Amino acid sequence: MNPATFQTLMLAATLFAIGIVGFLSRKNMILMFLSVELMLAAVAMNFIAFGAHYQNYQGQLFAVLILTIASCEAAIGLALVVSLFKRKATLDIAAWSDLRETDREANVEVPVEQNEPIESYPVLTPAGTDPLVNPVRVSKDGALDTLKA
Amino acid sequence: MLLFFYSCLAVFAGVGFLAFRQPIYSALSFAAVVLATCGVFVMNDAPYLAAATMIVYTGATIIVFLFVLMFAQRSRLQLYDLSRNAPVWSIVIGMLLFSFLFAAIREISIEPPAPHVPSQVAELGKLMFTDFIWTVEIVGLLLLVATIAAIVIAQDAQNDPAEKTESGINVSPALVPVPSASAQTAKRVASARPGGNR
Amino acid sequence: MLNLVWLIPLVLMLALLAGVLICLFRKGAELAHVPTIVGLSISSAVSLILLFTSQGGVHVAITEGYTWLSLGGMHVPITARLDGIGLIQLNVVTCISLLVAVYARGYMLGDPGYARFFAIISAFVFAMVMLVLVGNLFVLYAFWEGVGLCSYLLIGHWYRRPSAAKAAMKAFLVNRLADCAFLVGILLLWHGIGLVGAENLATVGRLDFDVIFDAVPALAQRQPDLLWWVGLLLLIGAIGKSAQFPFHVWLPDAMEGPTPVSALIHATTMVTAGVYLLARMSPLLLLTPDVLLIAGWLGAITAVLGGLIALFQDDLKRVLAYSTVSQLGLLFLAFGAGVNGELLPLAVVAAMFHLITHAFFKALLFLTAGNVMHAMGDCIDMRKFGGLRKVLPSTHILFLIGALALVGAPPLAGFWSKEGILGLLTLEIGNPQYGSVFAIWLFMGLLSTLLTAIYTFRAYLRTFWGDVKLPAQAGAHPHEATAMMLAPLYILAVGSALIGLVIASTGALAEFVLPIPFLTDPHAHPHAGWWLVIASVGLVMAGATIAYYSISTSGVAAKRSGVPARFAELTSNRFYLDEVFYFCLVAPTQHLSKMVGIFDSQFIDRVIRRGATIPSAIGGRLRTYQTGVLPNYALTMALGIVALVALAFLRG
Repeated sequence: MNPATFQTLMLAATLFAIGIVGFLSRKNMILMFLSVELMLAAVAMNFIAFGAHYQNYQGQLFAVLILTIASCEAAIGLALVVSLFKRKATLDIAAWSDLRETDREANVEVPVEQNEPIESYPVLTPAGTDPLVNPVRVSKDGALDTLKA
Repeated sequence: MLLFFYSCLAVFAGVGFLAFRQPIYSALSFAAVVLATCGVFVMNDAPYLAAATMIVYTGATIIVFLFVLMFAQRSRLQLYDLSRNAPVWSIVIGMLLFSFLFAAIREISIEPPAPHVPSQVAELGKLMFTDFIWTVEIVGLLLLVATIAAIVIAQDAQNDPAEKTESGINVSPALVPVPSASAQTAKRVASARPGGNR
Repeated sequence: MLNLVWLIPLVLMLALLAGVLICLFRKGAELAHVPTIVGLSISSAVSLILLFTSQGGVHVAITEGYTWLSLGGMHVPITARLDGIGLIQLNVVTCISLLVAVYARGYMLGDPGYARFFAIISAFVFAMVMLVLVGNLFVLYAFWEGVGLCSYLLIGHWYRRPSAAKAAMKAFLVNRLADCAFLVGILLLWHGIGLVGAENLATVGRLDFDVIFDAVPALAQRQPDLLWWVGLLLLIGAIGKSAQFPFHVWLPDAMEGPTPVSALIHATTMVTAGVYLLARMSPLLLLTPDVLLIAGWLGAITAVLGGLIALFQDDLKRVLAYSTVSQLGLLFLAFGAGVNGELLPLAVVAAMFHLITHAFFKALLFLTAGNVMHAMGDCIDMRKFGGLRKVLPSTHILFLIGALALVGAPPLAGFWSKEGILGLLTLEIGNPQYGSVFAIWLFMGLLSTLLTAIYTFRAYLRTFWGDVKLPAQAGAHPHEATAMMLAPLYILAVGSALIGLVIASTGALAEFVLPIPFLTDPHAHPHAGWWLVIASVGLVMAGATIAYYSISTSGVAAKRSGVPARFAELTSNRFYLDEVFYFCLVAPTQHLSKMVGIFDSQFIDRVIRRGATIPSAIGGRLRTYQTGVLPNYALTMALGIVALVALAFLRG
């Protein structure tokens, strides 16, 4: 086997393995799709390599077909992702686990509490005011405003 | 030599695709992989395919993906981008698969039948529009159907009244007792975006 | 002409079918008796035709009616074997059945199970007729069980009554016990016949009666022990069906069934099947005299025992039931006389003779008891009624005729047939080997005659004489039975009165029955000596006198004190034989089943329940993998792909 073919095949194998790892490990739906695209590209590369090796055009022709299929897949997949995103406002694949056993908890990771800047501080009611009668709030810019008109 | 360079480029970009946390970077490194792949195609006497791949993948597909990513993306990284799903298992499986493929490729001993003839795109076109005309037409039809399907799916999602319920799926709570839990979680995730509108 | 015999089971089967359809569709129940009575009329007409045309003609004729099974070389036909014994039994069955069915049309009128009753009667007569006709022991066994089933169904006709259900169960189980022995005997015989060179015969064909009779002499020479066991087991089957000691316990309880059933099945037809079996198998029994000796002893014991128990029964039907037991004992006693091989043919004749007469007068007695029951509002306790001769004049006369025939008053039927049996016993009193046995048997037979006279007249006097006493159930105006119910009774009464005289004077029965294959024609014909006639008539009169005094002078209650009281208690408790059965068989079975039940619930159930937790535990583990998250499934899938590829590599 000539070294160019061998090298191309090895590259295809590597890309395919990368695609698999990506598909299995990423949680972002779009990136999972991209991993699948990567695997398709690797397969197409196999066709190209063998086509070059045998000096004919069938390999390239099949690569064209794969390219087309990949485009179809990308179109529909993206449409699906968009519609899913519209429903749950997240790209997390784990958000869609409605087919789990009913007594299982949803496996969506709850974000850790982040240190958001505190927007308002508690304040004491000014002396002489009954908080039940005149509740007081501190607005963002620090001014006290009574809720009661 | 050039082939080896392109190959290295593709593998590095692929690793980057796996490693980046930012989805945008991952998508861009995917584009780099595809570009390097196009170089490999050229080295393998497939200039037409190299061009086609570059146009279709890098020029169209990746761009659309990036659009969607940007449309869905927040400025901060999301938890699902920060963590990986079963990383050890995934890598073990990937390695195993690669080693099998490696062993298989090593086994292959085939010799080219003829001396090297430079590729001609016209020959490929002749093949596509004579012997494989039906295949090409059917795949073209498939592409058309997929286009229509993509439009329909996206539109349906827009007009879906279930969208307002946020749970999204028109199933009764009795059937799936905890969809609201996931919806709530998703809501929490969404609301936890830190200062996204600031 | 002989093929005409198949008409009988055919019409009965059609009657049964009609009855079943009526029961199923619940329509025309008031006409349910029509198919049965029509079928029985045709059957009895056909059997009478066969009886009178076959006289002097072919004595053993075998016709093939229906091929039950034909497999390659195996050919199992259902054959009918027509000979003297079969024809006589056939006529008894069909004629008595017809009369009882006509009677039952009046008796059962208004019963909720009217249609069911007649359907089962058809089924019973069909099974009984086939039992009598078939020419194969194994097929006979099938119909033997068939009549047992019908008996069970009819005893339990009023199945909502716990006592009836219990009695039906008891009859069925006691019969099963005996039938087990019978079946083992049949199988043993099958094996034995195979030993003496009939291996090539088809499985069931080996048990054709002719094959059996051909084979038994050789078997007796080569395997006498086997033959003895066969004979004993067949005898056990016979005494089970014919309610002989110790299997007699089911028959009195069987009186829970409707009275026509008691008259038909439990007095005249089914219970004589055992006697019929012995008569049918007499060529085999000829070679096993020990078995006949046992039969004689059992018969003698039963005859006396039945008479003793009947003395102190208050239930009119039970008196008749024990009387039946006792009379059937006499039939077996007659077979005992066959222990001297030369007398066996005569024993068969005497037994068949008494069987016929007994069928007539016992059916008559039961049906008149049914009349009494009908008039008394289903009360049959003799303590509660009396003096019925004014209320039921026709029934009174009919019962008197039946009772006289039963006790053996000359010249009624019972006299002739009973003298036939007793006379048979006198023949060999001088026999060096069996003489003393015969003397004891004769004494027991005479004792049974005395007892018969006492209990019969007691029942008669208590029911029909004395002051008029009516139970509360009878209502204000107890009435005589309808003409429809009385008509068959008159026919039976004429039969009871005359048939003994007719048969005894013509001697036709012996000619008819006797050409039994392999049984030599006897040289001597028994003629009861004058002293025997005088003795038995004297015993009857003595019995009548005792009965009269026991009723009229002291009354029933006063008599029960001192030693007689204890005796009365013993007999009215039926010698505690039911209790013996209970402790020997029922209680151990119950204990065993209780233990088995405990084993079942404590061990088997636990094992199974424990086993049932395994799948649920596995499932509980497995469902934790159903996370619904796509990457997990993808991971599993990828692992599977890797495994498959690895497998492909490993296999080259």
